[in-house]
Amino acid sequence: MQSHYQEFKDAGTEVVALVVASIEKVDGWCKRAKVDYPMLADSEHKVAEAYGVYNLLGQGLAGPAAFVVDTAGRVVWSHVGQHSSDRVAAQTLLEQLP
Amino acid sequence: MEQKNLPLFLVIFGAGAVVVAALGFLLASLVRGAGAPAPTSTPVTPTAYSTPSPVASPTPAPATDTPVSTTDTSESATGTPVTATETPAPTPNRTIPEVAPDFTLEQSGGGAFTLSEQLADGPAVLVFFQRGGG
Repeated sequence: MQSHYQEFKDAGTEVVALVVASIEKVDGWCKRAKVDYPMLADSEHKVAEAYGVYNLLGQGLAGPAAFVVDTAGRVVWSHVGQHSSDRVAAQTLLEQLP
Repeated sequence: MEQKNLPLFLVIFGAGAVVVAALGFLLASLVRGAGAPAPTSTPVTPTAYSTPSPVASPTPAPATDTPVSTTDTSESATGTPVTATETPAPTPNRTIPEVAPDFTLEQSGGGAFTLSEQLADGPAVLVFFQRGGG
């Protein structure tokens, strides 16, 4: 995702990563992975629940998922992974931008 | 003579017909009687097959036992509800929303991120990671 981040920015779209973890853990991951996009700490997993992806794989975490949201707040495209490595490619997301 | 012989002939013919009919009835009844044993033996076999059915009906009996165990299950389920009530709590929602729920969360490096504020500037791609650095 990091390697394609600039392409999203060029398309006027912000990429936001959400992780069910404390902000301390998220900060640590960000420093190690050196990601430029915002990484958010959904420590109480309320957002993951609202998007229907919390605990999908029974690990108390958010399932791998991606949502493309247009400026009207509509989910125009989504992908919910069925296993831990079922993640959508960045190129696929770029093709789904509104 | 011929007029006298004609009724006699009719009487003889009629009597013969009655005898033939009686013999036919007798034969038919004998055939039925002889056929009866055969069907009787046939039912015996079905009875033998229907015996397994009773054996099968004991299976329903275990099925009757199963309801009992079902009742046990419901009893244990009655004890479980507390756990069952707790279990759905972490997974209340499995539907993908058509409208993205707004949220505000802490972001790495400090500060807060609010989706609706971002959408005022442009679209957003929300990516849920199981762990950081994905």
